[in-house]
Amino acid sequence: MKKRNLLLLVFAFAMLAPLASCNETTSSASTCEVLSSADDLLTSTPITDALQFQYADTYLTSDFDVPTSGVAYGKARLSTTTDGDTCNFYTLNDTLVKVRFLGINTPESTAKVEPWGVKASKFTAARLNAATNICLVNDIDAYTKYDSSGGRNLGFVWYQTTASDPWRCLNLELIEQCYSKNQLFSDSALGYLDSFLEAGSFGESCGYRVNGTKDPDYDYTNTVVEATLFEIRNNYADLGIDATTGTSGKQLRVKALVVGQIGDNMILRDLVRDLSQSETDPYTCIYAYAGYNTALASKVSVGDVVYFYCRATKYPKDSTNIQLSDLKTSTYGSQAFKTLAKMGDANWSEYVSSDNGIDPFSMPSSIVTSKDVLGTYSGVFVETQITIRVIQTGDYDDNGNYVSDGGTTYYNQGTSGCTIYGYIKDTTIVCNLRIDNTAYPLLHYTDFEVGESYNVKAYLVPYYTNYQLQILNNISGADYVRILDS
Amino acid sequence: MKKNNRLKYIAPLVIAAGCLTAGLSSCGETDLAYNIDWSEDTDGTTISFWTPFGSDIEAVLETVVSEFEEETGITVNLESKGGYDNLEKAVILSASTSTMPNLTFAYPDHEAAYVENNSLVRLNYYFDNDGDDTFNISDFYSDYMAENQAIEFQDDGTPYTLGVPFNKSTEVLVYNETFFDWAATRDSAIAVPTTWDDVLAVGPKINTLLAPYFGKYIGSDSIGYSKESDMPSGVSTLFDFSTVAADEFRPVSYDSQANFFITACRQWGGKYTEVENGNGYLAFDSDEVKAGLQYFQNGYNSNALGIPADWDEAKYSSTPFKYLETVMAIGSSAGVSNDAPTGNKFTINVAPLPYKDADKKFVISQGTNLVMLDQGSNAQRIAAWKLLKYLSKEANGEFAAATGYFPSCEYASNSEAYSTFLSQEPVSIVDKIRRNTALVNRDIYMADASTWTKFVDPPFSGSSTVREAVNTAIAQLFIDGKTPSQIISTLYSNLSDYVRS
Repeated sequence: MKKRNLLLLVFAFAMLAPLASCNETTSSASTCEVLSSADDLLTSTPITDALQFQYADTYLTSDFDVPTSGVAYGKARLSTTTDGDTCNFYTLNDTLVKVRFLGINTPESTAKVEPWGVKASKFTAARLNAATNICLVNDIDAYTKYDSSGGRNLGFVWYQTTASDPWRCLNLELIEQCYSKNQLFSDSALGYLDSFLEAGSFGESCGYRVNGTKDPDYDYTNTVVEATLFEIRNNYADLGIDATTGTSGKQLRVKALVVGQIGDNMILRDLVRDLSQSETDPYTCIYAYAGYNTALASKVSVGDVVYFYCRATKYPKDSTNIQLSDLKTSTYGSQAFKTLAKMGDANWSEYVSSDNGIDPFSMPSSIVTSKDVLGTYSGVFVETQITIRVIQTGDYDDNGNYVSDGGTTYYNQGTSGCTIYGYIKDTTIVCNLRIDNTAYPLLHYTDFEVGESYNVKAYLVPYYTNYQLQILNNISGADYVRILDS
Repeated sequence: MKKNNRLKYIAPLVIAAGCLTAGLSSCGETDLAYNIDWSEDTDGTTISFWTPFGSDIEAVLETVVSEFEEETGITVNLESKGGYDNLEKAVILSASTSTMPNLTFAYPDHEAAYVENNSLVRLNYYFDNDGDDTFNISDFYSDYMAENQAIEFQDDGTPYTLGVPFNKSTEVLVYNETFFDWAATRDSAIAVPTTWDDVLAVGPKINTLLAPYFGKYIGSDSIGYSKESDMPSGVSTLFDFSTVAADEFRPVSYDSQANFFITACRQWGGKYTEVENGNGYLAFDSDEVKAGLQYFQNGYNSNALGIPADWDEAKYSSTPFKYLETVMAIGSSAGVSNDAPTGNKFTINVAPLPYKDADKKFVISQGTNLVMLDQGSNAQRIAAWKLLKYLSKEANGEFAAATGYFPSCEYASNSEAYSTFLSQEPVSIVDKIRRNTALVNRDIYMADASTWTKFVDPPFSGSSTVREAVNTAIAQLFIDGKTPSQIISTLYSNLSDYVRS
């Protein structure tokens, strides 16, 4: 640097030195509480308390999804929560929008799991599930309408727990509760910047959660556990998966047989039975979620014996359903995804025993005498018979009953697939068919007819209070779905 | 190179005036930046390193940085600011509270802004004085280094080096390989285009070929079926066009309309912007640029090409590409894995960007550079420099192999991780498209005998404003139907601060 410039700088600093201290934080209203546990919530959130909601008088008649410029805001109804910073909402006109929260970035808790991710996700879910009123807000001119992928609306989420409670900005609360660092660095017509900066500084000065505290339920070790699917399903607490929070726990390495695929995702089956299982028990299965843009199906086929690194999570978070996620799918590097044998290879039988193979476990409708009996096959790749009850646009609960207050159009095969409502054949035991839109080749709802019965080979999983069969990539010749003679 | 007098003299005045008027403390210990005591031990030192990356790339960087921490005993507080714009804003905000990170990433125009803010460290001093003869400015590929040496100059015109390249990418054409293999059996004139004339010629042929198939499934017997269940035994689905209408289909789509505009300026023999005495000026009001824009408008009107807005997509063509609403997508080499379809629907491959004339094969260079900020103690500055060096050698190859960015220097290109990445036969679509993209870069764009030029327009304070403005030009040309002259006139009017008086 030129000497003259340095002199000017020295002069400027000398003039200003008495005016400010370098170590000051901008936080003035908040103090660092003493938390007895890293999981405790802060009892005082003055920064969130102080930020005022501006649309209480008009939000009920405004649709968040309509404007393409300026400030967008409007009433919203929670559909589902994805993680700490992304949720699905219905806007005023019942448009389903996926919203990425502006100004924050909570740790991951879906395809990948990071410290505090599951807890941030649960915090967001708890706040929004308890909310009486929700309003989404964005200044499109300042922050754009969609995120960089173009698939998610951006927004601030305001909520009221009861109608008499003050409105609170959940994005800001997540920062003040230290589930996210501040990610808002430019202001808008909304005027939120100072509050977000203050909350971010407060978090850094206190050092809670994402700002420096270890997640007590996250396994930070680099230990990799080799586990069978049976062990993952039955001993998941030992593997660090908390039964309550669904925290991912240890990194796993799994060796298993691919018995089905849904898009790039896999239905895996154990290569051996556990010693505690009898010879008539089905081999344990599990769903392995590949994540986005992995194109895993381009290197994996039904019948492959695969060996890969992953973690296990609960999905949905509060359910009993366990799946594999955070899969390492690259074929390069120290944690490369490996295919040990393909069906037909000479060494395939070294891994797959003679009573295993890619065929589903036979669960004829005649043996399913109750929902409890059906539940004993949950998590198994089964072959059974289903009679179709409802294929109709509209809003239905998981029993297939029409719900009149608006909501999901289940059969719409738009972006997320569809649910076709059915019974186990010759019973009234609910067992629906779930067609995920990532499946390829993809069955369509028009391929089914109400009243007809079908032989189905699919993966049985719990779905709220009932069960559903997840339909696989409809590979030619696999005979996964076949209409039965009347 | 011209001397940047404006920046040289303005910077200290900006600092002084800013501090006095805003009352902000400016605690950067600038006298430390170029008086390093290299003998100080950095074991146990903690530095902060801010990034723009999303979780996937951040995870790769975390791994590399962890290795650095183990080797050096230096603790690195790595923090993503959630995007490039956010990162720049965060750095500028932090400069006012003396909480800047020690190391971060910057585009050239960000570097220009940090120079004006007097928060950027010139790296020449560190290259010259750290006592390490194995690490030099010349180690980096000159195409990538140039933008770091185009902002600030010494009195004799020698440029200061303000950053070093780290994550570099360019533009490529990703195509549906399964489709082109099939299409060639139906019309031998259908092939992956290499020139824009090829693009405009093959587009209508593809539209003609597909006309009977829109709204249907194409079977392996090349017959269109309304339902898959209508296919006879032994016939399987080759392509699912059941949800694609004729008016929704465009043979090729170009992701970044700013890059589209800027590259067209170059390929048609015109200019985009130019810098003189540190000031940036618009330079695209020319017959060459108008001819280029008219050429592409004609192509759009003949349904040969499109842009993401044709499918209501904000920035990218990857979703239309995966749903067969286009069969060629021009976009960033760092994002090619986003074009991989789910469920093994089809295979994909990659080709260079189409060009107009063989003597003007221009393709844009993108990505950011590592920069040191004027922040921290003597030990922190040495630690930051050590991390910059570490990330510029083998670690850069490890990062490139895992992310799809290109190596920034020979160290990285020759690293074991990157050599393995290029030599190992890929298994999945994602691995294949990333490997093949790297080969297009190495063997076509960057080869010693290459006729391609990777370009970056000279950065200046405000160049990002100009880029944002021209980003709307192609949509106005294609969708709003404005003429090239109207668009250029409007841009010159809206960007009057950058028009020569």
